[in-house]
Parts: sequence; C-alpha cells; structure tokens
Amino acid sequence: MREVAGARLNQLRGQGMSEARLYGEKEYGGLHALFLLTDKPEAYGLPNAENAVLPSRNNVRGYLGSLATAVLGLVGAVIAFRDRGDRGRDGKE
Amino acid sequence: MPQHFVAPPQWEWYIVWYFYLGGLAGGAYLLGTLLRLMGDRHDSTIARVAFIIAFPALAICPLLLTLDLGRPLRFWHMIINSRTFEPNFKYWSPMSVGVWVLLIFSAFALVSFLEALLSPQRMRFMSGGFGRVFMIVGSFFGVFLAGYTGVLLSVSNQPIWSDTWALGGLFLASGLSVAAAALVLLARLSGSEARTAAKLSRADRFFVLLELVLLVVFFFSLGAVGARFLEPRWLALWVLVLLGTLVPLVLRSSSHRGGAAVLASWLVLIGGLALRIVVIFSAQM
Repeated sequence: MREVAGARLNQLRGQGMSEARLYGEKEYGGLHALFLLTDKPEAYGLPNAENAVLPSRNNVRGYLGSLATAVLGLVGAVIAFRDRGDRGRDGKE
Repeated sequence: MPQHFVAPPQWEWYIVWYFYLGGLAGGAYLLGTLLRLMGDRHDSTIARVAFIIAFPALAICPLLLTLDLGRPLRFWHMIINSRTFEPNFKYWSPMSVGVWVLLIFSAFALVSFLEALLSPQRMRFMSGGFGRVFMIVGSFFGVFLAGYTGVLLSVSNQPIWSDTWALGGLFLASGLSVAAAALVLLARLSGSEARTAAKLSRADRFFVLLELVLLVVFFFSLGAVGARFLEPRWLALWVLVLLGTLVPLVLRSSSHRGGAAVLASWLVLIGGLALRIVVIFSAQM
C-alpha cells in the first residue's frame, strides 16, 4: 500500500502538484490509514502538526492532579479527624 | 486552540451515575478506613456504615458500565483478550486501568462490607494488622477509582474534556465531599454519633474547599473553551454546583449542628451530581 501511495505521490508531484503529500503514515505515531492529499492537511479539515494534539497528553498530568488532590484530601481528613475531645466546639454536641 | 475531529462518545446518564457512585464508594471507603484507624469507639458505628454503603454503591457501577455499552454482552472484552483469553490490561489506557481498579476495589469493598455486616468473630482475619493493611490498600484503589473517572474524560478526544487535565482531581475532591456528606446525613439519622458527624463535617469543609480550588484550576486550564460551559442552558446546573460548594463551605465553617449540617450535606450531594451532569452533557452538545 505504501509503495502504491509513494508511486502515486511521485506521479502527482511530477504533474506540478508541489503540495501533494501522504498523510497518516507518520503523523501522530501512524494513523493506520493513508491519505494522499494534494494540499495542506487543514484544507481537508485534517489536523496539522500545530493544531492537533493527542488527548493522551493528559494521561500523566491527570493522574498527577488526582494524586495531588488525594494527598491534600487525606491531609485534610486527618486534620479533621484528630479527636479534639471536649475542647472542640463540636465535641459537646 | 486544538481542533477536534471526532463525534461525541455519547456518554450519558449511565456514565453520570457511574462517576457519581464510584466517587461515593471510593470516598466512603477511605473515610471508613480513616475513622477506623484514627477514631475511637464512638466512631465505630459510622465507620461500619461507610463500608456498608461503599459496596452497594460500587456494585451498581459495573452494571451501569455494561448497560452503556452498545453491545452489553461484550463487556468481558474489557478484561479478557478475546483471541488469547489472557487478561487484557493496557496501562496507558485509563479505561482499561479503570476496569481493573473497579474489579479489584470491588473485592476489597465486598470483604469490608461483609466484615461490617457480620460480627467481628466471624471475620477474625480482618482484625489487627492485617485488617488495617487491607483497608489501607482498599482505600488506595477506592481513591483511584474516584479520581480516574476524570482522567478518563481528559484523555478522550472530546472537546472540553480533553482540553484540561484537572478533571481527575476535581472529580476526586467532589467524590470525597459527596461521601463525607452522605455519612454526615447517615450519622444524623442514627442520632447518637454527633461527634463523628462533626469530624466528617470538618473533613468535608476541606474537601469542598479543595473542590472549589480545582474548579478554578479547571476553568483556567480550559481557557477560551470554557465559555461553552457558561451557555445559558447550563447555568442552572452551575448554580447547583456553586450552591453545593459555597453554601456548605460557609455552613460547615460556622456550625456542625442540626439543620445546618443536614442542609449542607444535601447541597453537597446535589451539587456533586450537578457537576458530573454539566461536565458530561455540556461537552457533547
């Protein structure tokens, strides 16, 4: 498939289509689908390197945010659960 | 601003309730553990209640997830590779990690549920050091479950969800708050554990404050995309979210008694649900 696409790409460029390109072979780790474009990706409504990001970028950051929240929540709960005995305003209820 | 090129995943009410009950279960398990580890005999009743509510809330979750699948009978593909029949675990996918965490936490929650229901003599292995380590490990999975739900959204290809990394922390803080509020209400119903209810109210004050901070972080991380949240049709839900955070924060700062504690708890329960509804639905419409 790659060979066929490469041959077709060379053919288009030979016809003067300087913007022709293969899309999907290397982009974002490979899309498992090949597109033969005759213009820039954005002309087809496809993402280019500048405006496309993979949502997986939030994976580690999301877990780290959860971890920080868990630590803060745990500290808060431990402080709240310290027995204030009869000194606490609420312990007299 | 990133572009998005996919149709919405159509996650709706089943997922809203899964996120809500998962947060409640994980939070309740952690609070039950802390009450057992740090509390005295006065706290033991509510600690038991925490474990007793954690498992049923959790048990509904796999059902909701399965019903949400277009083809529910294929649910087992999430944990078993259909070709090799080996365990299907993908550490890089929150969906896969979450299914395993749900499974593992269910085992912990079930044992703690039974231990809380049965007399201690029937489950002696849960007393002493082993029981404490068991609860701590179970709490880890419970907290993970409450938080991963937000990470799951953040790594999807859905606008708004994938434009922020703060949803994991936000849902976790909300889950802890919802669990504390539910336990405060149940403590009030029992009528005899006012000191434990006061401890939970103080804890909830931290959780609500944390949730508010994370709400601000959430909107900052979204930037201009966040404007979509503030369309008029979502404002009523945001009002509920704010009522479920700001009012309890004020009420829990002034009093942990009677009507104020009950009102604050109900507002937290409603606000936590409203938060998940608005995050899940507004992004997809």
